[in-house]
Order: sequence, then C-alpha cells, then structure tokens
Amino acid sequence: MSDRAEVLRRVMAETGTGQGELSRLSGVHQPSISQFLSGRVDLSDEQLDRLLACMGRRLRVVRHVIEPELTRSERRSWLLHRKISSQLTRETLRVWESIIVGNVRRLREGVTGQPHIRNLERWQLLVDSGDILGLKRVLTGLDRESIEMREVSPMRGVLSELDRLDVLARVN
Amino acid sequence: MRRDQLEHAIRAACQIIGHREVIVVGSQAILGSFPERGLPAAATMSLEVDILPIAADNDETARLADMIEGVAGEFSPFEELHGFSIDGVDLTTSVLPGGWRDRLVRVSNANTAAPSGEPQFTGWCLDKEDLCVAKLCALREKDRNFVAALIETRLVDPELIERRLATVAEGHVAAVQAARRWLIAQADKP
Repeated sequence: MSDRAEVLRRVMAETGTGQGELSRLSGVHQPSISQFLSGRVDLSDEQLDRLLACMGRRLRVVRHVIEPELTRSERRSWLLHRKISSQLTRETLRVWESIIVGNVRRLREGVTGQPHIRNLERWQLLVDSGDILGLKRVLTGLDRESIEMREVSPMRGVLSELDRLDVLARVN
Repeated sequence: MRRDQLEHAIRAACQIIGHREVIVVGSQAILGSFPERGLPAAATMSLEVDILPIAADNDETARLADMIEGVAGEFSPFEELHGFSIDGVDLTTSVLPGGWRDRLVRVSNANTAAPSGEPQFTGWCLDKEDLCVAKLCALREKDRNFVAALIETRLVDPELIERRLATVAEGHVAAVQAARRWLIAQADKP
C-alpha cells in the first residue's frame, strides 16, 4: 500500500502534476487522491496504473515468488488455519456451522472497530452461503486481508487439541 | 476486552512461563492507561492479548512466547474457557521508540496475583504514545483506526507521538516516514 503511494508521489513530483490537476485529468476526486497519498486509503495496482496513465506513465508489476514476512503469531495462526482448511469439506462445515456461528456472535460482543467488525460479517457470509472455496482462501491466504480475517477467526473449537499442539510444535 | 481480562492474562502468562513480570505490547496495552469504558469504540481491539516475555535474548523470548501460545493461545482450551487468548510474541513483533522500557505502565494488583495472594505478578504495558508509535509504524487499517480514535478523543498527544517517532531505530526509516505523513494528514483533516 505505502509502496504504491510512494510511486504515485514520485511520478507526480517528476511530472510536476498537482493533486488538483490529476483529479481533473483522471476524474478521481481530489480528496481520494490525497487519501491515497497519505496511506489512509489503499490504492490498487489498477487504480495506480489509471492515475499514472494520466501523467504519461504505465505501471509494470514484476511477478516473482517470495516467502512472506510474517510475525511469529501470524505464521502460527496461518498454520493452524491451514490445518482446519485441510479438514474443511461440505460435510464438516455442516457439523461445524453451529460452533462457528456461535463464535461469530461471541466475537461481535467483544471486539471493536474496523476492520474487525467488517471481517466478522465476511466470515458470517462465507459460512451462511456454504462457500467452501472462499473459506479455504481465507484459511490459507497470505494476503493482508486473509491475515486480518484470521485475527477474528470464528474457528475456535473446530480443531482437536492434539492437532493444535501438533501444528504448534512445527512452527519452528 | 476488559481491564480485568487483561489482568487475568498477565497472571496466566506469568504462571505459564514461571516469571514474575511480562510486557504487554498490543492494542490491549492501552488498558494499562485507561479503563475499557473510557476508550472509544472506534479504537480497534480484539479478544487477544499480545504478551512479550522478558528474557536475555530473542531466542529465549521466542521459546517462552511459544510456551504461552501452547497453553493459552489461539484455539486453546484456555480461550475456550475464558473467551480470550494470549498471544506470545517476540521482540520482532513491534517497532518501538527509544526509551520505551523506561515509560512502561505498571499493572499489578490483587487480580494479577496467584490465588494465594503471592506472588503478585506484574504486567508492564506500553505507554500510550509509545503504543501509538508502534501502531503507526505498522500502519495497517486497524492500526490507523486505533490511533485516529485515540487522537480524536484526545486520549493521546499527537505531537508527542511525532517526537517519539524521531527516536525509532534507523532500520525503520520508511515506516517512520509513512507514519509521519499519516500524522500530518490526520492533523490537516477538517
């Protein structure tokens, strides 16, 4: 996110384009451009490319495989959820559904602010719609959105204690 | 999360690793400065307490953090019983300003003590502006919302946060610059 804001800032400086002019050229509201630049609002590659085009530049995204930088707790949580994903099927979701829905309700009473509240609604939607693929994406994803979804995970009580301890033993 | 749950987490973490003191580094550290009823709802908080064990080096800190995780971490029987979990973290988790250890806020009372009353364990919570520095150096949506809510309700001093940002170790220049830009934009908001 901050890298994209930095690219936008640099090209605006190089081309002498102010926020007002970029707004007129692109049709993107000037306050939105200000929010992109300050990091208050995330900027996608597509949005950035569109803004850069107004200044005679294109965005090239280079694809290569990396090992993501995770904190110790993010890695632990990913491993636990990956284990759950390996056990998730239509049948197990049916068995787990009441546990998960109960956990969402309890979490709603105890967590505050965004993105937590929004992420709890997303969990609820995925479970209600039986979206196995969507759930697996969140359980195993290493993008920021999936990491943050797992911070309010309603999967408590789904994994056996034996499985949990087995996963934790392999964190290192 | 409530203040009494934080105190419970401090007691439990100390008992798990056999230490008398631990450090609280995540959002819940704010409960060392203010009771939950004094905090704005927009300040993003979860049902998890980030506990940093005190040890001679990061390897030992990580080992103790894993011990906490095993007993009281995510999906543990502890979480099942009490409704919150304790996340053992190491020194790489937070970017902190110089001198943060000298400003820790002490939480130690009857609720942090063992059932017999002794020992009385201590949780050292990050100072509120130091916590904001750590949050802004991470600058995720939840971090921005947390700090914005505290600034808006005048529970923290943005000028002091900015001064402390200047004392963050050199290896985090980009994070500090992004944090500073966010603070300036925040001040410019109508």
